[in-house]
Amino acid sequence: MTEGFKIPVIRLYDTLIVSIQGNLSDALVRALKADITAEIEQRAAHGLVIDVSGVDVLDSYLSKAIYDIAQIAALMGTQTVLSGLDPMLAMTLVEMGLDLAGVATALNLESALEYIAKAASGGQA
Amino acid sequence: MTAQVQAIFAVLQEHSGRIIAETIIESYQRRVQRSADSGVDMRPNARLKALQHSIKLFVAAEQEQQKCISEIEKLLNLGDQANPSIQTISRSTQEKSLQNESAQSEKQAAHISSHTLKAEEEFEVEIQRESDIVVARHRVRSLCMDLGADRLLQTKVTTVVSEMARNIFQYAGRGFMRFRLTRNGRAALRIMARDYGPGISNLDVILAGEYRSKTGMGKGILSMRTIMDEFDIRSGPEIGTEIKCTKYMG
Repeated sequence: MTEGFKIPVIRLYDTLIVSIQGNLSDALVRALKADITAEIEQRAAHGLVIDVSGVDVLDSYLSKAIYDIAQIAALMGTQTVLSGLDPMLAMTLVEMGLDLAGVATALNLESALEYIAKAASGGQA
Repeated sequence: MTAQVQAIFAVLQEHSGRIIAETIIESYQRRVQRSADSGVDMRPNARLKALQHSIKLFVAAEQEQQKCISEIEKLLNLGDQANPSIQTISRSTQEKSLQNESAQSEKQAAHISSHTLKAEEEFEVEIQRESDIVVARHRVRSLCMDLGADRLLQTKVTTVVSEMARNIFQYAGRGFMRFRLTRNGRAALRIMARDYGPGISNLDVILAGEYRSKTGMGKGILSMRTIMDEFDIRSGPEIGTEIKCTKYMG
């Protein structure tokens, strides 16, 4: 059962940007993982920004989806940064004891891109 | 106003079902009431905008959205109740919907048209499809707003409901949730989640906080318990799962 649309993975030079809006169904999550993997495989990316400013509820299901995506990206040499997390969501996550273990976060898209640029240049030996 | 609201409800129900129609109408009535309380009678344009916003949010199919909006536009633009043509339109839309409804629905239509706040209200959401998780979230958020909860409290409770609905869908395939508002004395939202699925094994281990699961189900239950003021869960292969919890608001 598909909605007939999927979340676009947008390439900005060496960075991939994904904007999650509203609810992610199982089908959308699967498609997103496949699309991100395909993009990274086609042309390596320094970073992946997952922007969640369009998300109104961040439950354990969505947290896990984000976590999985970050893991997959890391396995392919790409750093993931979460941006645009609403303060209410952040407070709720903390109170509920749900965390996005190991997923870097930034306040907004600009900070996320700066973070990735720094991580990329810092990584050059 | 009552006849107009009923007519709008009938249109919404026709295009998006009872639950979404109720959600939209309740939110709309609250806005109109709030406006009236501060001395402003919302003009038809503003009313249409308010409804349009909700319709775009809650009605999934764009085609249905457009149909809804244009029908409601007609209902609102003929703003004067003394106008005989609007009487005809409202009456026929009402008749059409009431004809096919059971007595229960008629009672509900009457309930929606009244402005008095009831001391207790109960709502049920069936969880059968993945999209029902979203319906449950919208319903509970709307109820929280109704009880005067601030955005943070709304978010917390909606997140808990999202967890519950997701668990029902994922592990049992099917179930239902019930929401009860009480306004007597301390405002409270009581939530019940019920399914007849396989049940949760190791429930006591999970509740003791000692279970690390791959699926994350244990974490979800603990996190619900942290947010809610009262929390009770019974689960097992014979009985499925039943969660009853309460959040006090203000």
